Amino acid sequence: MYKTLFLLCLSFFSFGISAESHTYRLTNFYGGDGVVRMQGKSNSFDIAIPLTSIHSVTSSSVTLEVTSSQALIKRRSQLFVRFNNATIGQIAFDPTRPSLTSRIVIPAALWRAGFNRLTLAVSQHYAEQCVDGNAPELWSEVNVYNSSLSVDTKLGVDEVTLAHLAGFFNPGIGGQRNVNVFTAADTQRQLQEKTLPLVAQGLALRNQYQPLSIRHNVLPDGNVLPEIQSAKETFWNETQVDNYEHSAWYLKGADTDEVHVVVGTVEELALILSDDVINEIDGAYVKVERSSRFMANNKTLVAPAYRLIVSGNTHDEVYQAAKALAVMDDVLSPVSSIRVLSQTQVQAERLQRMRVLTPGEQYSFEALGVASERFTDEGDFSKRITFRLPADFYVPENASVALLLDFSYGAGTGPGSIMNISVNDELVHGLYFGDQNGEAFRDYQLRIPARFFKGGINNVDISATMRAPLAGVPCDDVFGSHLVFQVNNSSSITLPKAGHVAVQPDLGLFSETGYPFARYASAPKGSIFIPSNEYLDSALTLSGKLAQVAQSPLLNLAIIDALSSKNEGALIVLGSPATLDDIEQDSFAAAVGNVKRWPYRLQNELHNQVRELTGDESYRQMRVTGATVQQSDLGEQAILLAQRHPNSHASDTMFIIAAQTPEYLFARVNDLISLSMWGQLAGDFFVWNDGLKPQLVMQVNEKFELGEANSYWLTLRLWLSNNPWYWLVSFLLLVLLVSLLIYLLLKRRNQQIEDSW
Amino acid sequence: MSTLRTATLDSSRADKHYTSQYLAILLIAAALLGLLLLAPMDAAGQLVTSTVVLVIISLCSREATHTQRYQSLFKTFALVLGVALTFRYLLWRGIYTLTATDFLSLVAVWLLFAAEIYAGITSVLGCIVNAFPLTRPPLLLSEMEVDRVPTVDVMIPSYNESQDILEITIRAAKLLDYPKDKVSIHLLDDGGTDQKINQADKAGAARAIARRESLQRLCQRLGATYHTREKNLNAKAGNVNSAIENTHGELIVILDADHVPTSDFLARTVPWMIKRKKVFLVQTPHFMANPDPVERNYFSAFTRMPSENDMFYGTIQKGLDYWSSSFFCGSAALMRREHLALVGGISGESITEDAETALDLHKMGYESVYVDRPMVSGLAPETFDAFIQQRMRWAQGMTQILLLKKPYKAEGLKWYQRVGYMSSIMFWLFPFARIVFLLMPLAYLVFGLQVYHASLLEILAFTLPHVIATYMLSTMLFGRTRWPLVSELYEILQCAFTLNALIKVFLKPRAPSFVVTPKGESLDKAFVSPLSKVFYWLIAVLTFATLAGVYKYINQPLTRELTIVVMLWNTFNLLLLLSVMGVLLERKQLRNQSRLPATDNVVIETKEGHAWVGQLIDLSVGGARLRLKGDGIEIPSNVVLTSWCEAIKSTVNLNVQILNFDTESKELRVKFTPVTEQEHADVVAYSLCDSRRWQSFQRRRTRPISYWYGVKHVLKVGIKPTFIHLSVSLQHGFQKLKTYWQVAKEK
Repeated sequence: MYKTLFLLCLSFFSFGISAESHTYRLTNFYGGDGVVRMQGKSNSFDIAIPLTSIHSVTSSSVTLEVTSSQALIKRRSQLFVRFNNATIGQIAFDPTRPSLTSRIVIPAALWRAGFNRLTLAVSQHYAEQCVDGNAPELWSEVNVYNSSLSVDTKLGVDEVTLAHLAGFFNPGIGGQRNVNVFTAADTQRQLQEKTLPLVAQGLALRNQYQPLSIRHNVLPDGNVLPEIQSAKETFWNETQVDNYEHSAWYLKGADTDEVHVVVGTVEELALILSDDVINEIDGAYVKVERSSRFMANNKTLVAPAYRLIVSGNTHDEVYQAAKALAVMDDVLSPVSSIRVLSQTQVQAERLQRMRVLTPGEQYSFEALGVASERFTDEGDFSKRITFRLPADFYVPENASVALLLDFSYGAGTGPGSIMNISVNDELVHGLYFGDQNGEAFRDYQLRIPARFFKGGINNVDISATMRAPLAGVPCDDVFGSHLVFQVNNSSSITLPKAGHVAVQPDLGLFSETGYPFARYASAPKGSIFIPSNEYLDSALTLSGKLAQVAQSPLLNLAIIDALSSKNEGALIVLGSPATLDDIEQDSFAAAVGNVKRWPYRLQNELHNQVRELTGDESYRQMRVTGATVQQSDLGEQAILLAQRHPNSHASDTMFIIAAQTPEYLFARVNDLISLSMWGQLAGDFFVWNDGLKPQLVMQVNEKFELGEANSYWLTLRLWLSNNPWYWLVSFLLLVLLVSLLIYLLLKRRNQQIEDSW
Repeated sequence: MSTLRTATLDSSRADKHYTSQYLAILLIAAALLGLLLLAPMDAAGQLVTSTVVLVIISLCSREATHTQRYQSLFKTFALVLGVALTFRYLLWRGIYTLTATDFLSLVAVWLLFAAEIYAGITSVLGCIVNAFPLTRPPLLLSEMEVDRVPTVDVMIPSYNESQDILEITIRAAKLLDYPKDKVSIHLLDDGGTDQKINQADKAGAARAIARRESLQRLCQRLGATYHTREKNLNAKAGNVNSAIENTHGELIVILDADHVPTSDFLARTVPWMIKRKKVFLVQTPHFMANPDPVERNYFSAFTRMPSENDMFYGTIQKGLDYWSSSFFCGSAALMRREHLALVGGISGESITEDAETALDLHKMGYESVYVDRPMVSGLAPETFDAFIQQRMRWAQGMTQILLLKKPYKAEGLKWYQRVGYMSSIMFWLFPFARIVFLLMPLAYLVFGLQVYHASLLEILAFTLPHVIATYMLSTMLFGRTRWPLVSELYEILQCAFTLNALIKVFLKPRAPSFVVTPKGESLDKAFVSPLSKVFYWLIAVLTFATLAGVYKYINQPLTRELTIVVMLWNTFNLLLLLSVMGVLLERKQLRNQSRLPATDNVVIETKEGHAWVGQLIDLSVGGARLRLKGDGIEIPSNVVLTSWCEAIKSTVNLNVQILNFDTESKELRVKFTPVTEQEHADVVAYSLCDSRRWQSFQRRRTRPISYWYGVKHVLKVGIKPTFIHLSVSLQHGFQKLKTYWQVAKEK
């Protein structure tokens, strides 16, 4: 539930880039409930607010809506507001005024690039002395949904370099959420298959979890100079024409503070590139620049714009440049352009494994990027260790994951001091801190059944509650400042060996890991089919999203415009009912075309909720037995269907994403890639109409196993597990044969014995 | 003649040819089955298949217990299915679950797995042995040629048994239906040897002299030969061997001092010796005329439930007989002197000389025969102490045979005879496994060792079906002769004591010495067995483990599935342990002889000539209970009971004294008051020498019951004694405190 709410909240988090003022709800940055209640004598919580590296804050303030208990006494009860550990405001609780709204200015100097920490801490008392820290009347609430953050930002890029790309495409405040990609008209087909998806992925990866909507545009064949407004001149002079040609004239009024991308060979882009740039291109080439301003009569006719150039002499070189863009660390290129000479170890299989732990290996927390943590004082502390397992992580029922924890707690803990360990929000272990002298553990071993872990992102939470000892004397509290709890990053996790099999279709797994387009053991070709160019924007946006969830560029993902029986691998088909009529959907439980087949719930044992949403792990079959065939439009909604690929020779999954028109589809794809909607993907039949909540989530198609079994043993295990009847029949037949033979031999011996009488 | 021989030879060759072909196909099919059992499958799939297999086993077991044409085929099918499930389980355990996080866990994991392998092997061996129990046709001496009837020496070895017991046995032996000139009765007294008479302990010497003299007089009176020897060497085996040297009968019958033969014993056993010269042994069941302490103290159901012996003599010996490996059980057996001479008489290397002798002769290619008719009634040990003493001897002796004789690779034995012997011997190693099964839940619940690395689903898919299948097979094979959970109770009762005895044998295989099981004791008061303490400790430990399990369940949510399973396992053990408390309460038994059910028609006649007709309810060598027919019965204190005696094929008139007559139920209790030698002989003949009565009694109590009925029964009879133990212990403690207080006060 928290996850859903978190994603829902984050969906509101859409930032602009201009220097205008922006106001965000605090829930945009906070994953918990809309109202945060703080209890006890003192309590606090943090909100992390990201900011891009290329923007500076000129002014900002936070407005808080607070309610406090009427039992709190004046002066001693306060809410402290801290920003990056500096106290920026103190709000006194007043029992006569339990609800208040307060605006606190955040000094611009306190902001820094990256994550900024807003801390709301309270000190609460109901009496001058002898306050019971656990008294129920010690509370106050902050309505984070109604509380807001106002920020004025300013772009701070003087000389643009490739290092600034990570600032433009950034999940923080000021980050870019849309991008235009330009290619020449006649070469679009050659670039769209491999290069454009890769460019889209490279940019989306920089945005990390924030969605990036990608629009494709075709460069005009030639430029037409604007009409001269001056009465003095009737023609543009040569210099002016030259200036105009090298400006971003093709943007046609787009926001010039955003970066746009031009992709193509030097020849294709010659019309818009300056001679210097053209001369520089001698191989795979990536450059970021600010195009020149075109002015006339002291009036800007074409504003300067940030332009990312992905080019080369040939299409292969352009592809190489796109690959470099996809994998590069921007910070290492504080220059405006690079020429890619060669690349090694940039293979699809290898890249897809980079962000995933390898089954059968041991990893220290340090290797997972987790720092040692030391918690002091009284209170609740938590340390989350997040890692990714292969999406198709498949282990036997009894396999286990070993956690070897190094941790310690200091002397003088009081009653209620404990540590809990949860795996994917499931409590798996608890420890009472019962030794007054403290304890230090090394290699504290926990064997956790591997079924608690899943393909994709996994979280191990180490939570500790530290309580001071009881003084035993009324009104004489023991302060908890001496309490210490420490988790060392020398702790480790050992994964069991695993096969690579996943149950399909599963939109939940797809949304979390990009499976089956991103796999672990291999990287077969994956395709996004578009029936026409009108669907290319949606395809590029989707490819970017897939790279984000896979946390790696998918080199084998291609955008295709023709389907054939030879198409192998996972496939996303984009289209409208009219275009989908050509797709063979007879075997599907639900079909989208001009004529639609809907598995209405009253005809079937279906549920609007699926396992991932409800936590139901009963594996109860949701069977489809009937369908209604009807002729209708899709309206404004979009449909996402997943099922076994009907034509592929090898088993694989086919996804169909359909809307009534290409425009609706693009709008719905943008809704789909939003954090809130993407997080709610589940089942295999998903219908949505906006970016907030799906209209229908169902499991309608038969499940099947998609495996990349690398051993016969695993293949056999899977096959037998799915077909136990074959095993049973063979077993019974063999037992019958053995029994019959034994019976005949026993009878024969019995006869011999009887004959001897 | 030569044509006939050629035809027989051809038929034999053809048989062998087909057998070889069947065996070859069987091996291939078994290998394929083995591969299939190795095939990996997820727990959910396995659960489905295991459930189906269990249903099929259940259906086949039901068909196998009904008499019908394909009974054996159904039985074989069920057995192979069950054994295959066991193999699959053990393979799964071995391949997937033997992981451990630390050395101690590793030890615990392997101990448990070793115990499971042991249980699996004994189960499989049991299935092989009991797959096809042999039912021999009854052969009678009257059908044999008179001149071929061999001479027989009936030997009754004795050490310290009372004269009363011996007198009954000798009298019954004298009544054997066999040509009188061809049978001699010998009492082999080891309690009156020269060594005993000349011992330094004067009182002991005097007792030995008195025993020798009184037994000599007894033998003279009854027409038996008294034997004793110089020294007590090699216990019972030495005693018998010493007598063999001094006797000459072609066949030898060995009867324990308390083993009373029925009159048809020789008539039904000797023909097998006449028929086949290679037969060295004809063994018959030991029919126990009194309940053992478990039956008496625990179930109080001696006449209603199968005895512990019934499983061995009613099923297992018949199975062993099929595989030519039924063995000598020390008594109630007929042996051929000629064959015994080949191995130097009764073997004495182990303390189970009987099985050892049979093994030696089987190795030489001689044959044994088992006649499944109770023709010897004996006495089971009365007290739990004596019972444990007897079982320890058996366990030690069989282990000695395993270590010293190595039957698994003994030259001369066929493979199936090796299986037969190993099945019998391996059973006695149960204390190792039972102790592991009892204590292993502690390793997890108390010490937190991960002893069973499996999920609940896997336990449901692999473990549970294996356990259920094993129970199903056990019920199919032994359902009539062994009730559910009774085996577990017997094993738990013995394991703590026999484990220690077994360890001693493993350390020093030749060390154990023969200890005579005390029999014929009467218990004049009820008391708590002195061996109870170990069970108190076990109950305390398992109760603690249960509490630890509850704590673990609450505090360790990750392992709740496994905790529940282990707690169920521990609770099962605890309930069994609480149930055995009943056995440890030794109940009072004043009657010297157990009365067994009888239904003979009798006439009660007074000296005045009044007579009433009635029917026996039960009967012992001391007296009887009967129900009279008719009204207005007035019986004087001394009357004559007249009835047909099948043992001597004539009517007997027995003087009886009336003990009690209930006019409402018309039940009459009488005591036999024989005066003359003939009357004494008639009482023995009437009460103890009719094998039909034993057979009918045995058939009456060997009946199957449902598993749940058995569980209910075990739980029902086990709860009350727990409280009695508690009360007795508290009283004992209070008494001690009181004594201590008084002593302190006096001081």
